[in-house]
Amino acid sequence: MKGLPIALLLFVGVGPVVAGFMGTVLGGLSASAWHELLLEPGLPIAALLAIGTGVVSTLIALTLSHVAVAVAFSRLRHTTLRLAALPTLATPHVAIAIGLVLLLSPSGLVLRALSPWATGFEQPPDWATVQDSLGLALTLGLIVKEVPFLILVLLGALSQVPASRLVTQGRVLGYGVFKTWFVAVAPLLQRQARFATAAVLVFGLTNVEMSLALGPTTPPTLSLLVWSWFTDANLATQSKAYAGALLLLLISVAVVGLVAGMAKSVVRQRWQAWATNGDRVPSLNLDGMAARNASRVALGLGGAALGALLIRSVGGTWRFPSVWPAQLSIAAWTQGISDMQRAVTASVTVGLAATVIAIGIVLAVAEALHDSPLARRRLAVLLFIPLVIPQMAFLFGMQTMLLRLHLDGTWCGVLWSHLLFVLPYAWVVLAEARAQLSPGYRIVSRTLGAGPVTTWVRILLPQLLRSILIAAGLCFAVSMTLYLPTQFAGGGRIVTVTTEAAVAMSSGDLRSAASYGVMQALLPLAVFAVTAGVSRRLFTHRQGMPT
Amino acid sequence: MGVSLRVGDKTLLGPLDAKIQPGEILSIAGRSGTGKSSLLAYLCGVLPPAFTASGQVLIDDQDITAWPPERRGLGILFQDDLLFPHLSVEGNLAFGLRRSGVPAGKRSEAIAAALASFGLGGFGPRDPATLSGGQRARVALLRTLLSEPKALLLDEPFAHLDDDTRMSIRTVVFDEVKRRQLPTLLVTHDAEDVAAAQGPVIRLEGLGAMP
Repeated sequence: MKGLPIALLLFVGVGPVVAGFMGTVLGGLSASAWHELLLEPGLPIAALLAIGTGVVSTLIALTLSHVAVAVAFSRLRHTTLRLAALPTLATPHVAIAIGLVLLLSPSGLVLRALSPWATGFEQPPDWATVQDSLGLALTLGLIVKEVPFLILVLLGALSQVPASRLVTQGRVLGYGVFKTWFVAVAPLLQRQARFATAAVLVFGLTNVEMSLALGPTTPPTLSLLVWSWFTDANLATQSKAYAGALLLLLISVAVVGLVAGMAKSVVRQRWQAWATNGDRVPSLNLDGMAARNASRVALGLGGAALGALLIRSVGGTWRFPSVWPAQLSIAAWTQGISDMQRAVTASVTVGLAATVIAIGIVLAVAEALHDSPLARRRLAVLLFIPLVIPQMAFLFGMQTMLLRLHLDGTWCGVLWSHLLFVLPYAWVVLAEARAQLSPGYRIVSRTLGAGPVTTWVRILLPQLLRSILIAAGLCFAVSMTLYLPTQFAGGGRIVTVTTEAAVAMSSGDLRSAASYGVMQALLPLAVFAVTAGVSRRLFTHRQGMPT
Repeated sequence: MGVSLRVGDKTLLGPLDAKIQPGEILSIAGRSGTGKSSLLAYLCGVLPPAFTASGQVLIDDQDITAWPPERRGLGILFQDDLLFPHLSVEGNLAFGLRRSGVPAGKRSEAIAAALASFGLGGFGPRDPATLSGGQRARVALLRTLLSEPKALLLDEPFAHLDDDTRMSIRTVVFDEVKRRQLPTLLVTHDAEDVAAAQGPVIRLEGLGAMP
């Protein structure tokens, strides 16, 4: 009875990853494929670009997030920070990338705002401000998208740490807020955020959706190169793609290992020397820090990207350097309305189904394992695998698996591929919420005469409702961001707003891309609004409810 | 046959043999880690699978050892009052109140009367989180009593209360035990609780029991 939900979770959430990974390994273990891969002319540069953009964006995003959380804590502004992070967090990578193109490209809003009065440009300059060969725009895009995620992870960890008492202790000893925070609190938060940091790093190293819009083109980053081989109909190119996916995996493991090793050795030694030198530098003040302003810029750019999407999607004729379109037009929305409807329907149905199924399975497993912390930890490690290895490392093989099951190109296949990424988030929210309910509630309810089902439905479930709503918003938003899984499992036959946005972007139809981008942001934000609204109306006069 | 509890092949507690008379409070005293709470979990039928237990539990000469918790007719009070936070005071009591005895239309009245008899008249619609510790403890006791238990288990029920409240709540609980003639098992590490219970005492000293 207990084992059934666990077996289901492993089958749905872990099985395809294992099967897919094996498939990729089998497909990529051929000498000729590797030979062809290593002869690829742009390969070293493509690999360096992936490593450079991934590592630099992760380190900067992590620093900015820590500073933003430290400042919010010292000024009791958690809620403001959470709200500021939410829109960019909820918006998929593809949409943020398109929005940044609209802002930063030579004919983008930033240069329009400065032209011609400051720059003298009457025509968009011939600059590579996006898709630059160093990958700077891509790095910026990754930072903008990952800062909100890391901020919310760190804020979540903050509730597990006695931060106020630690900071008070440090200040009584004569240290400033900044030093106290980074000596006593930040390391504890980072410890809890290491899985999330690894996930951000691997995504940065191996993403396709941001590279498509912002990344360099000749050569592109390694992941984009591998993805282009995979979409090539030529069979020989396909086996090169499998080998490339394995190379991505090797690079990811090596880089994550290297970064973790550095953090444990050099960084820790430096930090320890700084933490124990007794230096109480009063001038080190958070308020004046450049990093703090940079974290504001990162959050602001996310919001600005959303604004740019909205304007572009309703902009008609729009000559450079006007900041505002000469006329507004809903053509982008009406012309492709049937395509849009089809994509929205697929996105919403897959997203809602994945959300409901993930929450259902996780609730059952959380119930079975509520008093087994060790089993929960082991299961969590398995569930997190899809988030900390390159998606292509198992999606290639998973597509073969779906093909055998006749699920490729079907709605169910796409749903299954989304579940792999949605389940870990449902798990993070719900498993701990269930485990934190006092075991006494169950005992009291049972001795009062209620059976196990009544006890769960009337006593435990209501106390989990708020967590369920949070999980629902998160799961739906995650499903909405998924680009590669949708492409692999859907095989072009199931299209969502996310895949359509990428298609429009690649074909250079910015206005249509913007309208899909707006929809990508709108759908998860609408779900967040609904779940937050319901949550606020639940148990309004019950202060003792877990929040 | 006495009750004993084991973790793996290590004996945690027992064998323990006792019969509790109606209205009598048997105290089991001992430091934490002596298996007191596990004993109560065994009696309730919710012992975690990591433990193994042997022995029999009887109420009114009926063997309930294999019964599910909800059929055993035991009431339990913990040191946390464990009022359900999503239900009002009345909702908590209604969850305890049995369906038999009180007709459907009269449940609200019966609960209001029970609250009044505990000095909590008019508290029905209140949010449990807004009550004082003493008030919450009384609601928890009332919830248990409304389920008409045949016996009462007390797991350090006064430990979280401040000194003044502890005395008065202890008096209320013990008076109800006497009035309703409930066989009661009190688990505690507080000597004052044991003295106030005025019943037989079993002291646990780490592994195994001393009479």
